[in-house]
Amino acid sequence: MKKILALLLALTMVFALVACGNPGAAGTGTPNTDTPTTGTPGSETPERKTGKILFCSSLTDGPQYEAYTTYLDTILDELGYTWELVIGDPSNDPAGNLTAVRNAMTNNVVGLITAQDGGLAEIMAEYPDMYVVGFMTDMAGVFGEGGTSAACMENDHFLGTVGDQYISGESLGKLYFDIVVEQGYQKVSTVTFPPFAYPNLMVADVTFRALVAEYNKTAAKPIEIVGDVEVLMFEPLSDAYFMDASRKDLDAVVAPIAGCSFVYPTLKAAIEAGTISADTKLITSGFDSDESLLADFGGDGVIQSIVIGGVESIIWPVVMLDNAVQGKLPADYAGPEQVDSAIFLIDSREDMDKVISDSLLYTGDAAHIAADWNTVKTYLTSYNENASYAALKEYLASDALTVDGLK
Amino acid sequence: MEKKRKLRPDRQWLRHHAASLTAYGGLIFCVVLFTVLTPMFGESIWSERKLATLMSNVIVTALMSVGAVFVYALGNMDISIGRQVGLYATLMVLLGNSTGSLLLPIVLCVALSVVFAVINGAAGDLLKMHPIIPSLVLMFFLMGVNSLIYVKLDTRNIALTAMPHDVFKSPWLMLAVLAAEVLIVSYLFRYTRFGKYARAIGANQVATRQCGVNLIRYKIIAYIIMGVCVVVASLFQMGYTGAASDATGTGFEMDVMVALILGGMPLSGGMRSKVSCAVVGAFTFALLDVGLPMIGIPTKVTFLIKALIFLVVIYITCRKKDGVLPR
Repeated sequence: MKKILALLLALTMVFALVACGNPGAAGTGTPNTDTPTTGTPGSETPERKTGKILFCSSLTDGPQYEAYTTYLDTILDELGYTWELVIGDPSNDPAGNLTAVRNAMTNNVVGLITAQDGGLAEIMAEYPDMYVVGFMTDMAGVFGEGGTSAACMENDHFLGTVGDQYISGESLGKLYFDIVVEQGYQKVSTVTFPPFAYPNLMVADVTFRALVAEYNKTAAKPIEIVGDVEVLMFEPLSDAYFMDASRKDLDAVVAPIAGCSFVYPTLKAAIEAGTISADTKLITSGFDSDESLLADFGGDGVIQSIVIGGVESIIWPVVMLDNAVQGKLPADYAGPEQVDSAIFLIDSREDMDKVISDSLLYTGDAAHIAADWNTVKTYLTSYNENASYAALKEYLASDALTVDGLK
Repeated sequence: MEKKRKLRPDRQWLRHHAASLTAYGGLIFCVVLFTVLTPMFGESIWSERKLATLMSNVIVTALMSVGAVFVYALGNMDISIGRQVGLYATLMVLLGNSTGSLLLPIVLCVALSVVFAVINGAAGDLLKMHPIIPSLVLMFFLMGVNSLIYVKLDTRNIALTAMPHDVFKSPWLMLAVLAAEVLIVSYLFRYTRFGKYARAIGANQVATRQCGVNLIRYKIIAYIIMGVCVVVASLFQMGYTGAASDATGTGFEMDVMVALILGGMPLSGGMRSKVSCAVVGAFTFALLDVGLPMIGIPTKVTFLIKALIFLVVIYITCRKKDGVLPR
């Protein structure tokens, strides 16, 4: 009986394997060539090279992951590519990422969009013909001088990287300073992740404190920053944090990290327990579609601002990859660089309602894609001979992919 | 009194070798399956590139698992292996960069592995606790040490820049080192008293002690043999990318456990423990990792399939009716 059952299970597995297999993903040895049904407006239909694009991510669920999935499904299908998720090492270990990419490699892979930077130089050395673009990574310390993936910047198949929000810690610190001033908070504390993992976040904190010090020289109502920055070792903020008497009457906790998960639960519990003032607010990063958390946003809610990298910044790697695969990088493209993502700042209840009803981030619905197929074509040299790199950068920095740009 | 039913010799043989047959059968099944299916999807698993990928996938787990056979034969397991790999790889990069050679870091790592072996091998008996507890403590200790190193370095990744590391990517070198390790460990395991006592301790610790065997001594030796194999594995782990990170080695102890179970290793140790379990299990696991994406299985689904296969192997190799693991 045992053996029969085992045999049945094994047979079921074989049939499942064959059924699950996607013959469409089969490689042909060289990138496929086919003709898309949509051509450049006003010009002849271009002949295009296609193939498979790998998306290496540490995310495998959640609203941001769903948004990326919808976007890639929609736009890459229009372009004639297939794509596949590669689950990178959760801790960004170089060997783990290389193994993940190696295992997913088939001979029709033409490009890699990677949110994991560990081991990228080795990956590129192993697959020299594959084009690579970084996406949503805090890569300033990795691609900069002395960084472990600095060699990528010298590789002509590396097409640059889009940071998660601002590449520069100074810009991030300035953004949070502006929010604090605009909201009129006068007593705040700061929380961040360790600098060995996220060096730019520590730069942001230093910048934030310097700006506050400068502001206080002339301000009628100076801002007090309570204590040193609290560094979380990737664990939620401790309950003990709010037991310190100096934090009982904070106006806000400034946490440019995934604060919805790492700070909000502790802060909310402290408010409910009466340990701290009920008016203490949270300014943070990271987006969570949990209903109770969204209900506690804006107005009298605890969370007042959320800043994240705009999910549709993924237009950048898609455009860069396709231009490279077609062998038509824009004439004004001078080499890889680190660029800021679109900044998705949600800082009012109205903003949040708009995000819930109209954004790809929340709905995961292709109908809410802002950087749609017609927009993408504008930046593809194979569809628009006037497409330029500068225009793509300008688009990413514009309001089009921000909360204000939601239709 | 009811007479115990005697099995026919062929059935006895089958029952005796069920775990081995399942393990070898599983490997052969995977080889045949992917040999037939992968060409239909564009690239054969026997292509040079995929064989190199297979070898690099298998090497670290196999090197660790082969050494771990000694410890599993005792009926013990060491869950600090992953963190040991992390520390050794980090030391190899740091000292390799500062001295321009890997000799010193390798010697240091071997010395450390002996210290860890003494802790793991002796603490259980001396402190009258389950042997997994010292390895758990060691795991957390090494995790802390590794974290402190990277906090001090102010980075998450470090790269070996003082010397080339491409030699460690050679599939032929991997194969040669693995073959050498298998031969040496097999010899020690089958033909020396170290291996015989390790199996005897796993089979019946009390009887072995009554026979005059110094349990602590032979347990420590078993852990030392595994420790040296872990250092060799760390060398290839580091050489794979020429880098180490604060996460290097995370979860490797589970890889070893899975490889050994897939290979038919009895978790209770004892006389049926075999070195071949480590090799067969590691190759089966790596074949699934490499082969499943080649036939178009999405990455997320591969985890499910591997879990199902693991379940089937456990089901077949579990000999105790109410048991949950092979014994």
